[in-house]
Amino acid sequence: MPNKIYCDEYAQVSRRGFLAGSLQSAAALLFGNQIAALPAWTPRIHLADPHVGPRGDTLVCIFLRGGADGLNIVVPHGDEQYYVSRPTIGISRPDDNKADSRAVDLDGFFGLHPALAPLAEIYRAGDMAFIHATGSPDETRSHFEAMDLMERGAAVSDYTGWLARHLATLDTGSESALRAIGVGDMLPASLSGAVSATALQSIAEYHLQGQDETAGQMQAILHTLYDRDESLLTTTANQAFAAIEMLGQIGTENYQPAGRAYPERELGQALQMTAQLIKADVGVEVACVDLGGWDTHVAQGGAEGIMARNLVELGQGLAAFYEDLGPQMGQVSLVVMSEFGRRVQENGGLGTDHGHGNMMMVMGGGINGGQVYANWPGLHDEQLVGPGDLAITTDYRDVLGSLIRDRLNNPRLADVFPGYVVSDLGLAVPTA
Amino acid sequence: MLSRRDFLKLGGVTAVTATAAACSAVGRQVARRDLPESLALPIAPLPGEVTPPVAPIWRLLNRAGYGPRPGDYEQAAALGMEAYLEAQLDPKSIEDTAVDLLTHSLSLYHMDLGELTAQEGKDAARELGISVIGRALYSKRQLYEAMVEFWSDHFNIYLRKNKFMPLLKIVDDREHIRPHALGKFRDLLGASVHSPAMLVYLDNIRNEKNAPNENYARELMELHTLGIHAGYTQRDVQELARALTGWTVRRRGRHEGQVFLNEDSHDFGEKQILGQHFPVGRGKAEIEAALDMLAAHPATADFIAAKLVRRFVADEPLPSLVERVSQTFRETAGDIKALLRVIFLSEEFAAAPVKLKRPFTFMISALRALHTDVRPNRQIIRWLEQLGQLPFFWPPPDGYPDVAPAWASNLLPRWNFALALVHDQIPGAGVPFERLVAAGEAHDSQSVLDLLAGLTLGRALDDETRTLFTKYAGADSLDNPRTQQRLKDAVALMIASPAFQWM
Repeated sequence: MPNKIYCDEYAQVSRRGFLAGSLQSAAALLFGNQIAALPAWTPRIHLADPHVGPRGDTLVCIFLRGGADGLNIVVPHGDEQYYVSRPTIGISRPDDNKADSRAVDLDGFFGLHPALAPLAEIYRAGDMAFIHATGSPDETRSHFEAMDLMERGAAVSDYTGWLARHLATLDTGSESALRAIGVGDMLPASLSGAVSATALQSIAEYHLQGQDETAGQMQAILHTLYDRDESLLTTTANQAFAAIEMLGQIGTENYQPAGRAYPERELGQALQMTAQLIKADVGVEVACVDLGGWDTHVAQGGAEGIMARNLVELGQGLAAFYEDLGPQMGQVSLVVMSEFGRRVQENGGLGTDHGHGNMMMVMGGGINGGQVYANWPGLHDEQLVGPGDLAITTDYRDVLGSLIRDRLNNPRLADVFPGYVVSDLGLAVPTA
Repeated sequence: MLSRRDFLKLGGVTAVTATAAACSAVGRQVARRDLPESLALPIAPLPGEVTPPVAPIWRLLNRAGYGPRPGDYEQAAALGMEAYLEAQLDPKSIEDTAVDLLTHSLSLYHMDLGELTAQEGKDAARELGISVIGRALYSKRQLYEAMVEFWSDHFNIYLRKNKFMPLLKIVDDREHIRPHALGKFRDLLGASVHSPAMLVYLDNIRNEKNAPNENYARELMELHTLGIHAGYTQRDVQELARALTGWTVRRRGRHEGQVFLNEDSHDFGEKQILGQHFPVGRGKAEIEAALDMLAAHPATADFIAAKLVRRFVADEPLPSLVERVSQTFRETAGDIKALLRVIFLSEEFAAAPVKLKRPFTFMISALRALHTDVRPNRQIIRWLEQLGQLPFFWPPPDGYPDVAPAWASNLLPRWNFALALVHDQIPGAGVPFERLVAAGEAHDSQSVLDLLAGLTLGRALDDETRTLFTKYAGADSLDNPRTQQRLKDAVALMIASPAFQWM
C-alpha cells in the first residue's frame, strides 16, 4: 500500500527518503532500497576574488522535499477557481463557519492553512512574508531534476550549489569550521563544493569517538602530531579541533528554549540545534534543514490529514525557532522552499500531482514582512501552464538573491546565480 | 625489543579462521595464504631528524596501489622497483585467487547487457561497491586497480544520474574501462565513446541532428582528451557535437541498452573540427576519425601526462617529468604502460613530495596495513560517504579531485574511522590484533608499538612521537586489558596521524 500511493519515481528510488524524512544515504542505495543525495562531504570549490566584507545574517534554508502543495499552504481564497478545482481538499475561506478548519487570512486574498496559524502572528508582527506563484523555470516535473536545478541555482552545467558559491564569493574573514552546516548526515546539493561545510547530525556527537576518559588525551596527541606536521593539514586539523571545542561547549542536555517547545520530530529538533548554534555564536553563516513527506499524490487531506500533520510540525517548529531566538531574529533570515508546487486540480485519489508554481516563505527581523509577494497569474484553465499548473511569475532566485544581497551582504549575485539577473523584490531591508 | 632495520619475525603464523561474522570467504582465503614470514621496518630516522624519509618502494606501494599489506613491502623490496613495476604492469601474470573468488560471488557482474537491463539498479550499485572495495583490498594486481580508478575518474560516471546508471556502469567497468586500463589510450577513448553509460551520463542520447546537445562533445575535448586550454573553440565543440549526433542507446527490444548510430538523427553533413575537414556522409567512420585526431593531438598527450603525474607524483606536476611523459605518449601512440614506466622510474618519483591520500585510499590502506578482512557492507559505504569519496558517486564529469586542498578539510571522519576500526566498531571489519602481535613476537607494549608503526607507516617512529605513544600506552603487561585498550588507541592514532594521511 504505501508504495502504491506515491509516484513511480519514488517507488523506484526513494521510499522513506522524501516521504518520511531527510534524504537517504548512498549506503541505503547500495545496501538498501533507497537513494541518497550527495556524498556527506564534497571537496571544496574556489571562485576567484571573493567579495571581502562583514558577514550579515545567518541564513537558514528549509527545503520541503517532495513538492509541497503551496496552494494549500498559502491558500488563494480570493480566487474562486481555487474552490472549483479543489472541491474536496480545498481549505475553506477565512469567513467560513468552522473556525478550526478555515484559512487564516493574510491580506484579503491569501490565507494560511489553519495548521500554520502560529505563523500568522509572526506575519502580523512584520517578520514574515510569503511569496506565491514562484519557483524554478524547470519544466520537467521530475523531483530529481527539479531539486538538482534549484539547489545548484544554475541551469548551466555547474555542479556546485548556490550556497556553496555564496560562501566562496563572500570573504567574511571567518575561519570558522562551522560557516556552513547541513543538519543531518549529509549535505544538501546547495552546499555541494562548499568551503568547510559540515554535515552535523548532532552537536553532542561531533567529537573524537572513544571513551571519555581517553578521548581528551588522544586528541591532545593528535593535536601535537598535526602541529608538528607543519603542513596544510596543520591548518585544517586545527579548524576541526576548534569546531569540536566550540560544539563541545554548547550544553546540549536540558536545553530550554525561550519560547514554546520545539516539536519532537525531525524538523523541530533540527531547528532547535540551529538555534543553539546561532546562540552559541560559533560562526554559522548558513544552515540547511530538510523536511520530507510532501509528495502527496493520494489522500493529501485538507484542513486535517497527512499534509496537515506535516504543516503542524512546520508551523510549530518555525514559531518555536522565532520565539527562541527572540531579538536575535534581527540577524537571522530563514527561507522555506520546495522543488515545485502541485497540480491545481485535485486528483481522483484526493491528492495532487506534480505541478509547477509554488509558494515560498521568508522569516526574519530584516524581512519586509506582513505582505504576500505575488503577481497572481490566476487559476483558470487558460492561465495555467503545462498539464494544469500554477504559472511562475516570480523566479525563486529573486527571493534568494534578495536575501543574499540585502541580508547576507554578498553583492556577487552573478556568481551565486550564474546566467540569471536577480530582480529586486523589495523583500528585505538592506543591512547597511 | 626490536632494533631498527631489524626483521620482525612473523613466523609461527598459521591459518587462523576468524569469526565467521567478521570475515568473508575471500578474506579467509587471503588470510590463509598471505601472512608473511617476516616483516621489515623499512627506514629509521637519522639522528636529529623529525620525520624519517619514506622509502621509494613504500611510496610506490601506496601510490601505485592501495598501500602494503603485511609482507608486501619486503616482497617488493626484494624484487626492486623495476622488477616489481614490470610484474605489476603485466597483471595477467599475477595470480589473483582472492579476486577470482570475489567476482565469482557476484551475479549481475557476469550478465550481458540484455540480461542486465532487466535487473534492479540498486543491486548493480551494490555489486559495484563490493567489487571496487574488494578488489582494492584484496587484489594483488594493485597497479592495475589503481589505473582502473584513475580512468574511472577520467571517464567519470555518476551512478545517481538515473536508475539505470548502475547497470550501465557495470558494463562500462567490465568492458570499456578494465580491458584498456593498461592498454593504448586510443582504445580506451574509443571504448568510452561506445559505452552506453557515457552516452547516457553526458546526454548524448539527446544529441540529435535537429536538436544538438553539446554536453558530451564539450567534455570529450575538455576533460577526456585535449584539456581546457588547448585552443579549441566553441565552433569546434559544436562541430564535434554534430559528429556525435545519433550515437545513442537502444531503448527497447532484444538489444536494449546497446549503443548504435541512429542514422535518422545523425547529421551526415560535412564538418570542420580543429581545422580538419570531415567530408559528407561518412557516418560511423567519421567519429572514429575524429577520435583518431583527438587521441593523436599533442594537447592530449600533454593533458594526460600532466594528469598522471599529478595523480602519482605531485599535486603540482613537475614540467620536466610531464614533458617526458608527454613525449613518450606521442612516441608510443599513448601506450599507458610506457607512460607509467617513465613516471615510476623517474628521479622525480624517487624524490617526490608527499601526496595526500584520497579518502578511498586512506580507508583501504588502513584496512590493508592491519590485515583486516572486510565484508563490504552498509557501514563501510557509510564511512566512505562520510570520508567524502564513495566510488562512482561524484556528480560532475571531472572525477574526484586529485589535490590535497580538496580533501584536507574533512579530517574528523578519518580520525573517527581509525578509532572505530581498531575498536571493532565497524561490523564486518575485524582487526586481527592478537595474530599480528603473536606473529610479530611482540612481548611488550614498546615492541607492539614498533610493530604497528612499521605496518601502518612503513618506518620507525621518530623519538619524539615514540615517546608520546609510549607514555600513552604505559609499560604494563600485554595481558592487562587497559594496556590492550591503550595500544589499540595508539594504532588508531597512527592511522589518524598526518604521517598516515600523506603518502
